[in-house]
Amino acid sequence: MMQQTPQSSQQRLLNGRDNVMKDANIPSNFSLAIQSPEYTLPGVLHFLQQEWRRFERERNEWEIEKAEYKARIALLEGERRGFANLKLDLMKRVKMLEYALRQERKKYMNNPKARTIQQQEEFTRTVDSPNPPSSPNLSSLRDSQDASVKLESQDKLPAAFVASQIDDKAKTRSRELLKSCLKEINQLALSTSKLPYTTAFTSGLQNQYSKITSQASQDVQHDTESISTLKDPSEENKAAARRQTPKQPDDSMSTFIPQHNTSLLQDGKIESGQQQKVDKDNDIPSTISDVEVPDNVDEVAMINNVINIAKERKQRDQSNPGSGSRKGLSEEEQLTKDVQEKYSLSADKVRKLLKNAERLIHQENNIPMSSKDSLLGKVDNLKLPSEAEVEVEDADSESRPKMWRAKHNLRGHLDCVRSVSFHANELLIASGSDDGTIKIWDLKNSIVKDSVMQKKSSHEEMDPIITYRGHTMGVTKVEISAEQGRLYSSSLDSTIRVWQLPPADKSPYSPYDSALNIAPYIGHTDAIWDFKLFPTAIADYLPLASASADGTVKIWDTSASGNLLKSSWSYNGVIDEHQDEQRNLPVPTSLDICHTNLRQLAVAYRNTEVKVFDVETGQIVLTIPADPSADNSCLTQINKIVSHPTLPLLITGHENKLIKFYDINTGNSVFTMSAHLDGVTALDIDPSGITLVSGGHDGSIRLWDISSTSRSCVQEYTAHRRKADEGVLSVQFHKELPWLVSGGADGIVKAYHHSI
Amino acid sequence: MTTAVEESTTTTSNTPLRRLYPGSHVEDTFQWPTLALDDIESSFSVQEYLQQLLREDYTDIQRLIDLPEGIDAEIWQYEHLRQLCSQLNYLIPSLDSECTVDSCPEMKADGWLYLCAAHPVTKSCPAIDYIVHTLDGATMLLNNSKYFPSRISIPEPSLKHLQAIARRLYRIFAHAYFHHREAFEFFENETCLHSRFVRLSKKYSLIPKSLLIIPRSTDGDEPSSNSPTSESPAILSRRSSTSTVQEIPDDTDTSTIGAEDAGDEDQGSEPADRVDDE
Ligand SMILES: [Zn+2]
Ligand SMILES: [Zn+2]
Repeated sequence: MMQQTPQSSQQRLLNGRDNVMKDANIPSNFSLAIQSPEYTLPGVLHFLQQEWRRFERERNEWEIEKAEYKARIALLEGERRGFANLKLDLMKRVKMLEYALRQERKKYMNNPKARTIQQQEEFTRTVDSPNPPSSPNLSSLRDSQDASVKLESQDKLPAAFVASQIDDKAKTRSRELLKSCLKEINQLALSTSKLPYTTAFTSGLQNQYSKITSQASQDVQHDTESISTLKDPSEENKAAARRQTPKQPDDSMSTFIPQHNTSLLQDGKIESGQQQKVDKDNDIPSTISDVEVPDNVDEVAMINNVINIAKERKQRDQSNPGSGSRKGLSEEEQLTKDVQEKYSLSADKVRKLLKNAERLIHQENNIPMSSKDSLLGKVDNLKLPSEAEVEVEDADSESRPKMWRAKHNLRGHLDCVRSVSFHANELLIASGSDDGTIKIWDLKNSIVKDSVMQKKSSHEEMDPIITYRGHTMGVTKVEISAEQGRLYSSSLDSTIRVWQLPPADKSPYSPYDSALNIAPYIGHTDAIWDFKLFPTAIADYLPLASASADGTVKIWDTSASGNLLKSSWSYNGVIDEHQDEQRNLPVPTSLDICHTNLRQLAVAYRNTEVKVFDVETGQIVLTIPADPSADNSCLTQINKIVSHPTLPLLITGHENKLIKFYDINTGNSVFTMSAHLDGVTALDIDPSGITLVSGGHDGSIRLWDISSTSRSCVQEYTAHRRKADEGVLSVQFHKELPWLVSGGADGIVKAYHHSI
Repeated sequence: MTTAVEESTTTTSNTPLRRLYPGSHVEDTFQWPTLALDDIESSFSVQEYLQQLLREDYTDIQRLIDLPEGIDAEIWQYEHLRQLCSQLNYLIPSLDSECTVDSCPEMKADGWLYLCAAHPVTKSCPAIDYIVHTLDGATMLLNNSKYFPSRISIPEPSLKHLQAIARRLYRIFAHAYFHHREAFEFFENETCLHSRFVRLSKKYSLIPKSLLIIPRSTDGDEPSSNSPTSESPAILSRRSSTSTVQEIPDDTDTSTIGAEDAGDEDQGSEPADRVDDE
């Protein structure tokens, strides 16, 4: 076809010769040529033909390039699939090992009484047997585990236990590991409480509480076999992935075990927190926790099934050109068409188009997560650890089997989205932008639609249910108060505004209701950059704390209607009336409520000091000294501070790429990591306290397993395109549902769902 | 603190980054170095360039309107319209206290009555509703990746949307001018948005001159002679049903997910009475 086109177009040209003379619409340069005396008709024709050939040649080149890119996309997608499968397998395996160790440790620390090991032995057999290719590696694992654990276990375990069961330790471990892995999966599944298949999980859980017998373990074996049969037929990549698995766990184990031995000593805080949590989980009688295993195994099978189905669906979507790559295609087509149709345009124009085209291709390659699923994101993820100076093994060994995937790209803002926030229990998202508006997005409708037409791309347009206008400058922060049915927003215009959430049945173009705009909080005299609603009342009111460039942190009474301002603190604490030199003191940049003590507020200052205030008295309870790498300027400042939901831990995101962990009781820095390739702008911690999400001006979002000592990165993807020198600007977990939302300089709000 | 910022930006890095730092004083925000268009690397280079021009001097309308070298004229119009919508967001707060259902039950300007097409069937909305609906609709249309998939070139079929958007947004200025003059002038003093918009529309023929009803001393060629007229519902309904001036085919938006009313992208409104064909 490509070879034909030049000829056919010439043909057309010849046929249209007469028209060229008469057509009133001929482009100006041609009509000029005809009118000028030096040009004869053959000469013009010759010129036209030449031009045609040239354009056709260029078009052909285009086509070829396009085909090349298509091939490349296909190749990369294949690769990605391979990686995804490999990774999934590795993560599953590694997760099991990790949890086994954790539980083992816990057991030997707190609960030296031996369990009924014979049962466990049988379990491990069932784990190993259906999976012959990996059993040699498992046994080598077992050896290494035995070597390291025997030491501590022998002193602590009852003599009888040690004597009779040393050989079975590895199997015990495997069993434990399986159990805890499944428990984990179970938790994750339960947390997705509004998804349809959850009911299957929970019912399965109750059904299968029964005494463990060898027969039961046979059932388990049956179930585990069903896992592999479920996996295997899906794709050959899977098999390839499994063949490669032996290496990875070995590596991870060798670094993993010593690490945990030391972690007990070094990381007391986090470990104790985890143990509390695990203890809680294990409060159930040991017999029950034992019989949990079979039903959980069943769940694994189901989960795998679900994952596979999801994966297949994804692949179908990908192979379907209508979905992910539609944008790129239509652009290419458009450009090709332009060249085709506008052949009469100047060469300059064509050059411009081609230049644009190059840029487009460049762009396309830069937005992996949004338009091409996580193709490049996955690849980035694999090579990430070296970039971010995290060990590869750790990254994998600590990873969780949930991968966040982009579900919705919400386009509606005209400029950078500086803040996004979820409703506490519904799938409502608020987003605030440099365009001065706040928009509310309702994902509920789209989910219903999603299930109806799964074939459709998930990145279709969605309207916000309402747009709030009232600020006179860009919006810096938004937060929804589910209790009050309100939305709070702060702005560069020095005000905090309060909005009533629209009625649930509001349609996008219903009558404007100015009553939704409740009175603003006026008191700050400079840009407000951050604020936070307290989850519970203090004294007799529900406070809101705000941080402004005027140097103050102010506490507002959100329930009052008269005197809203409760107190105002400068860098040095409560402000006297005549104190007006605030501008020379460090300005607050971000704040968060200490979740371990809801009467305390942690405020980060530009010089990277963090001060913890008592909300009632305004007294400074704790001052965390500035980071030694900071130089008091905005180039090293803390952009975001968050407090851990359960542990006495503050986490700060710095402009100079760092994320730091501080112990809130001592003020000591616990951990520091270089987290992004550019300034860290956004942080949030999932409600369970296990995963930290960070966003940066490098445009990427990274998820970190902060329950481990290495705080390894478990997922990374490019989320937002950069505008000016800004990238990701805000990111937040949903408090109840497995959703994540981010906003960035590209003006797009993205919602992610995790993959189980 | 200001001094600290300046010091650091000058010493630590050669070119200060174009980003906002939380905690910055409002006067320090967007104090970004000026870049040549070619040096702006991002996918939003045209928008960034336009915003840079605005920061430098928003009153120099000619400079703002002139097509920069290397940019498609259509893209330039597109980015101008995005910026227009963005800035119109700031006009609404000053209108919504005085432009209410009671004060302006219909969207009128100088004898024209405009019908709101943000609905499945065009209808007469109160002025403030019309303004909000029109701005919402224009914003969503400009953000629709189906019609405007790229920030570098615009598909030929989508060009007509630019004209429709401009025509409708103009009515917001018209209503403000004829019914809320004080707010209009205050806003115009601060932004020169109307002058810029009118100049843009004339230069690129986005809006027929006959529909530019706000008399202009500086930019307008001549104040249009507006014969005051009365609105009769009969004429209105006839106009809305004939839709002679509608350029946007109704069938263009079949697959917008989440759009409860597909009409949001089709918001053509009808000037009643003295209809100059657009
Ligand atoms: Zn009005
Ligand atoms: Zn309307």
